[in-house]
Amino acid sequence: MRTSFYLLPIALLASGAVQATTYLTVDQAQAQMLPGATLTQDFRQLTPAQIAAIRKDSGQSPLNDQLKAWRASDGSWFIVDEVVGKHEFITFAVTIDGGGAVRRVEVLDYREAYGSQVREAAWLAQFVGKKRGAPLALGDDIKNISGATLSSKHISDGVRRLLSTYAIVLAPGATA
Amino acid sequence: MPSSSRPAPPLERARPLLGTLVRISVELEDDAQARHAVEAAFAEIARVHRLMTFHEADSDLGRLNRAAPGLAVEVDTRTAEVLQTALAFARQSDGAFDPTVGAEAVAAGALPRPADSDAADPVADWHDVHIEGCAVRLRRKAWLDLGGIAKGYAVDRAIGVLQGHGAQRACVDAGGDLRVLGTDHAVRLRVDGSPQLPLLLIDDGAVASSGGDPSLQTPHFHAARRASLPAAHFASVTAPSCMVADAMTKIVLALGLDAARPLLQQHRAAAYAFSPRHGWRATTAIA
Repeated sequence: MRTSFYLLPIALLASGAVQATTYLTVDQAQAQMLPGATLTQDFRQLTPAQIAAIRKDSGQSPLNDQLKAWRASDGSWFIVDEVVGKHEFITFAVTIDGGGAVRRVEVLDYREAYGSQVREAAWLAQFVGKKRGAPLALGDDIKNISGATLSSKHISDGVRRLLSTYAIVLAPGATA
Repeated sequence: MPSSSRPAPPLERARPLLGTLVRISVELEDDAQARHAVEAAFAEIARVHRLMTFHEADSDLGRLNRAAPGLAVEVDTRTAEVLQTALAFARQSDGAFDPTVGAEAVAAGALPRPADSDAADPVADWHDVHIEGCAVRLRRKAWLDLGGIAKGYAVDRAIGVLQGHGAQRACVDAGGDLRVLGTDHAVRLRVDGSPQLPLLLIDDGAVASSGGDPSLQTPHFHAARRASLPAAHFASVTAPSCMVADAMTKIVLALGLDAARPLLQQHRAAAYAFSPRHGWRATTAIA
């Protein structure tokens, strides 16, 4: 293990930037979370009564009145949804099996709005490379951040809301 | 002109695990191989999570926290390994790090009270935890919480899985407690109020952080037994393993940088601490 610690002047950083990472596209997520299954798009427009029922059941309000759902040939469902945290916006996909149980959760897209982001990659690479005497291959952003632990509570809340949504809107015998 | 030496772009995935967002990135020649490696690494993290979560009655920790005093409870080798390490840190830090902090966390509302369990004995501490092989016995009724160390262990296990799949360059990041394979991984430290941008470059090692943003952190129980600290106090620790880095951040916050120095050296670790009053201090050179 070798580590070096730098305190860089903050004035050189772009401000107000958004750091975004796409882990999976919707197509990729569908292929990997439900391999071999045929998916049929089955988006639903949530009625005010359904939205109220979801809120009552899960304690969470849907952020969008359109439910982005796909029905799989094996009886399960693939749903894409979003959650919003303090600084972060997360798009995630959930697969729910025919029995109404969560099979898998994947983050598709993660965006973080923060005051100071490391955007000056070329400058940074030059600076750091000189210090270390070795060329650096930094990406567009420094994605690795160590600090106050980011809670997964927003995603857990979102998954709970989608389970309610499934029961109220998609499940066989759903009443609303 | 075609280039054959250009490395494959890293495969990156993120899932909610360990109470945070776990991000894994790996560089492998073959995309299917990379996907297989990442899947196996997430599966190992999920196993560690299931064994050591405080929240489930049937996890190893849940069974220990519900066991009668003196009863030997058989746990997974992974749980035994983490408990042994936690006890070693408790001994070395004279109790600044203590895996029996569960009762304090429950009292503060940071963890739910274990259902179907008698109350923890208020005088119980790490001395009451006895391990023989995979048999764990609590001499007094105590509620164990491995939150200060199991996340780092899960990261280390995932890195081991990726190495087993042939990865030479990778990163496993559990909400800021992370470990990397390969050289020159840049890691930004997130702390409010720092006049400079703190940046670490790490070769084959780990970093963990505690404190910083009071709105996002749970109360600091390990520290609560030793000294009260300013809310904005922040510490990052680099170490060869994430489990050591994870545990040492709590010890640095509890004891302070100077008192923690011998223990840091013993574990080949380094600490970087920030407070608005004193700015940045480190146990190694600042560039």
